Amino acid sequence: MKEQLKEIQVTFSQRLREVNEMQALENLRVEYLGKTGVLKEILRGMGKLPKEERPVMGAHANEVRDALEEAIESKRQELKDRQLDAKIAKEWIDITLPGKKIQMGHPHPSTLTTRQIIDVFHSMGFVLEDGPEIDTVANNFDALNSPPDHPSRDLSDTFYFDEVNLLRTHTSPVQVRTMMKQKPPIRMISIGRCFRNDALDATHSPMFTQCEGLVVDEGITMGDLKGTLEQFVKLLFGADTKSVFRPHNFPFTEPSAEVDITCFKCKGAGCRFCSGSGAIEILGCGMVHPQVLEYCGIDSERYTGFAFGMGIERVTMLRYEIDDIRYLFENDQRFSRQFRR
Amino acid sequence: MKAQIAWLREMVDLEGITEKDIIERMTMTGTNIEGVESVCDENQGVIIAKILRIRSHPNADKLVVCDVDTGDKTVQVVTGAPNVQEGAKVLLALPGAKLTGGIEIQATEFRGVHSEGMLCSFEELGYSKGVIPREYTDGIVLLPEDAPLGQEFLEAYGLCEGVLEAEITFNRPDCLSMFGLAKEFSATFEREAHLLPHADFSAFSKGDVKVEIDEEICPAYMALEFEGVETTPSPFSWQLRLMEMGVRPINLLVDATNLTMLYSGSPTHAFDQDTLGPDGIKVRAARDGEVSETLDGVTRKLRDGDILITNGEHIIAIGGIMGGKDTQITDQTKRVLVEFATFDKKQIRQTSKRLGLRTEASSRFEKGVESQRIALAISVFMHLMEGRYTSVKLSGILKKTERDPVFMRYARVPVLLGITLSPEEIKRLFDRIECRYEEETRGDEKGLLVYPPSYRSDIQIEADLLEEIARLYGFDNIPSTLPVLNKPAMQYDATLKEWKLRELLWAMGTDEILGYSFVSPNSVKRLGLDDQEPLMLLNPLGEEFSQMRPSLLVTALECLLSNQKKGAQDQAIYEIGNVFHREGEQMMQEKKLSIGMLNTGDFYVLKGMLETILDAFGAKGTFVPGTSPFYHPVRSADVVVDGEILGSFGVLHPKLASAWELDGEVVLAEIHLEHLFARELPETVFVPPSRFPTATRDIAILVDEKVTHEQIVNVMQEEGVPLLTKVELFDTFTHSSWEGQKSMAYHMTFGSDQRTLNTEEVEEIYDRIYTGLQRQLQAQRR
Repeated sequence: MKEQLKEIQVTFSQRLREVNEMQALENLRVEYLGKTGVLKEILRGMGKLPKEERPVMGAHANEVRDALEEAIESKRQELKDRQLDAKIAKEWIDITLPGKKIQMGHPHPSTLTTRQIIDVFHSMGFVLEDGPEIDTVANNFDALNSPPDHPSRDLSDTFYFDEVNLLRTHTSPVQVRTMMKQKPPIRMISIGRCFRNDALDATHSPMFTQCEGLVVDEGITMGDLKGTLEQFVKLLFGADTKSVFRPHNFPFTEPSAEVDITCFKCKGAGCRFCSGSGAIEILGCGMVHPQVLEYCGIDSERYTGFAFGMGIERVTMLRYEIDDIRYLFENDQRFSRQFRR
Repeated sequence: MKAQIAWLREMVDLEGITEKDIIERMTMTGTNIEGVESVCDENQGVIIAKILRIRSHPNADKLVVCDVDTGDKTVQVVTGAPNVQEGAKVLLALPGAKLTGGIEIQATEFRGVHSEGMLCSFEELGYSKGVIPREYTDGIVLLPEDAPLGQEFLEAYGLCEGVLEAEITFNRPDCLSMFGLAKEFSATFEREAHLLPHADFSAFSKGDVKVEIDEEICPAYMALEFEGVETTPSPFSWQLRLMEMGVRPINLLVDATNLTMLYSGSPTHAFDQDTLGPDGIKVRAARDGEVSETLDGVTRKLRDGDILITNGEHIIAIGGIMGGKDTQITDQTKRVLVEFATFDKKQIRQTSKRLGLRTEASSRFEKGVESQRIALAISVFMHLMEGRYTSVKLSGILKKTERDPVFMRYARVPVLLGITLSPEEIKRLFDRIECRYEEETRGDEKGLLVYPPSYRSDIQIEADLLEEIARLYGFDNIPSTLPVLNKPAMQYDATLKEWKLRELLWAMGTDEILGYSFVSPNSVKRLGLDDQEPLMLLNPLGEEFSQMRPSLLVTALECLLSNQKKGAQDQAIYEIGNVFHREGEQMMQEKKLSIGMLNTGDFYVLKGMLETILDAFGAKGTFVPGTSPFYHPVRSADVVVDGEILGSFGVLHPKLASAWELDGEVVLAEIHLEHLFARELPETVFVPPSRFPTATRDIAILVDEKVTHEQIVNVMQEEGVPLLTKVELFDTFTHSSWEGQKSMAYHMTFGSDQRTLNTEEVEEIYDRIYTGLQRQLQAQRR
């Protein structure tokens, strides 16, 4: 009987090796381990054995049965794995096909610049004020100490509706409005659309965006003007940006200055963006003219202040290397979609 | 303002100061040097030579062959210049010389005759045609007899230092002159200036000309009368200087007036006195309809207020702008009257602008010429004319102008500039700009009473003096500080909200556009907007930029269309901007949002976007049938929040779609932002989710096709309180055989935060809801 069992094991192993699908495995299992299987048949012959051999042989037969079951189980697992592998192999996909993107919108580049400037000034304690695009001659010129015969008041420079109303030529009227409604301390910026009677070409647009700022308080000096703007350009263009303040003239500030900064493209070495000079003119600024303060009802003896302004389009064009201002107003999708938030 | 560096060196001691110093330091005291140009940059090796003999060219009629003395040898040069003559000193570019435009001269053959170089014209040296004397425009340069033979021409005549281009600010018209610039150089480098003194009128014989002025328009008018002058070309050195300064030399007298203007900043004009008549000079305002022929041969129509110089009867010049043709200097002129005057700057600007006639004179007068400059100009003119006339007389009117001194308090220097300077330091700065001063105390404030020089008309108040201190002390020497923050920064509320909105729109896939605030009235009409009171600009750039846009949809549609033409078939755009309209006398502007979609969404997609926005702002919107004419009459809606219409949206009206020639599905929205931004942003208050399970039931009903989803949900909620917690539409369906009926199917969720509902309860509410739908909407269960 021992030999029989041994032989069964050998044949079973051979048969099992030939099995390579589930149904054949099941058939084999039934043939050997089923109720009428080969093993059961053998066990039925146990009764013929001497009484003392029975337990030994019984135990041995059980071992054989366990071994066969284990082998079948392991084969089953093997076949399952093979099936899964085959299934997986059939599930090949082309991972280079395009993904199913969620289409995000694209911000206007000037909006990106605006956002950054607001953030920088906010970090320095400035609030943002808003004002109308249609304003008055009084707010746009008179309040700002602009001489009555200043060429900027001409019809060829400024858009008018009538003798009183115009399209603001800068955002300074917002400063006037702020000073008229609020006592110092004032620390504000305003950003908005401005208009000048310039024909549209690569460098001019009848509409542009300006950012202007104003600080009025007791004890504000020209040193504060320099310090604040130096800090601003470092935060906006990088910590190694240097500023040069050149004397200039504006009706609403005195002293007035223009600010050149280290070219942020070439870091001062000279490139086509700075026309080889290594510097870029970026800001106009100055100490608020006492007549402007007085016009707005602020005591120019007690309070001093500074103001500054810059063009959003200019900064935007420099930053993204845009060489024609018209791109900023054409709303061409092929342009818009290049800018990411 | 152009300024020849060599001329400046004659006026100010600039020993040891380089071009680089000039650019850097002048810019830092307020005269921005925009560039330096020199003829020497491109020209090299052009020498002074002499024509010995001229022979005809054997093979060409228009060429001649010259033997030319270079100082150390004789060379043969072929030229076609018509004005070449034996014995003349000329400019010779020998082989190896370089000329403007990168030309390098080589020995060559002209029609078989060898030529050892080229005789040069001014144009070949790089001077623009507009400044070359007429006698040289078509020929070579003929130099004076004393020109040093064999020397490099540009060096011999001091032309290598170049010409500065200085930006002169609006407040410094005095610097539109070499005199004014010399004073600035003197102040900047602290070097002595050697300038001509203002003329002493008592040294002149009194003239016979009667001068009558209108002080409003012409505060000062002086006339110099010369006899025995000759209209010859001016000295070569004058001509070169004028050319460098960008002015064409004409003749001795005209050149003298121009040099005087460049030196003093006071424009002058020379008349042939024999053409003027006996009645002297009368300055008056023009009357509408008068005409005058100016010396450029153009007949000018005049208007009320233009300033005229007359001889009592005829117009002899348009004051401050251009002289008349009949009275100009000619070759026959023997007696000359030279005008030195100042005019009302505003009127000069208006006239010059209207006539489209901007001259060197008018560009100075319109910025303001201070009347005492006349005395300087007369001095300069007399200096130039020395030995070139037989007699001179002076007449006219120039009142002495007294200016009030300006008081400046020492204490204001640290207050405004943040620097502390001693009175002595301040005085030294004022010395540099030739301000006189005296110590003065007013109340308990010490300071200086400052008398600025007459030409510094910009110094009027204390702040003007503080500016002088700042620029001379040097902006870069003022230490940088940061202002003390006396008030915490508050974020402007509307900004926060605007950014929140932008972030949402970005996340929802719309691209930002930016349109002009002014649009074409035709585009407004094409939008179907009948604007009864369009807000029009008085002086637009053109028709297409003439009307303030009454709706952002004009821009949105223009954008969709222009991009579609460029091949963009799918678009989603938004804009935040102002719209404008008139309300009687009032001009109104209001911030709005527009959204435009082409083939990227339908009515419901756009509605969903608006609902998302309303949610973010904590606004509950109701949607009612649209009233705006831009949209499809039954596929549009108005959004109502708190009883006010917040905006409209929908499918573009089919009529507009064809008027705009847009192909595809277009949906648009326009929303008032001020109302939205006026809302408090919603605060999130946490509510614990119910710990008890919910039950769901579906219901599908057949209703009339005009019954709305809103009606159904209202009934469900009415009947389902308080245990119906959620209703979700999951299917709508119609069938052609149903005749005006549709099927609507909903998931309903029931629950309580107190307990678990039992089946009987749920069934009971379900029945109640169904019965309600049956009763109120004649719904049938499917």
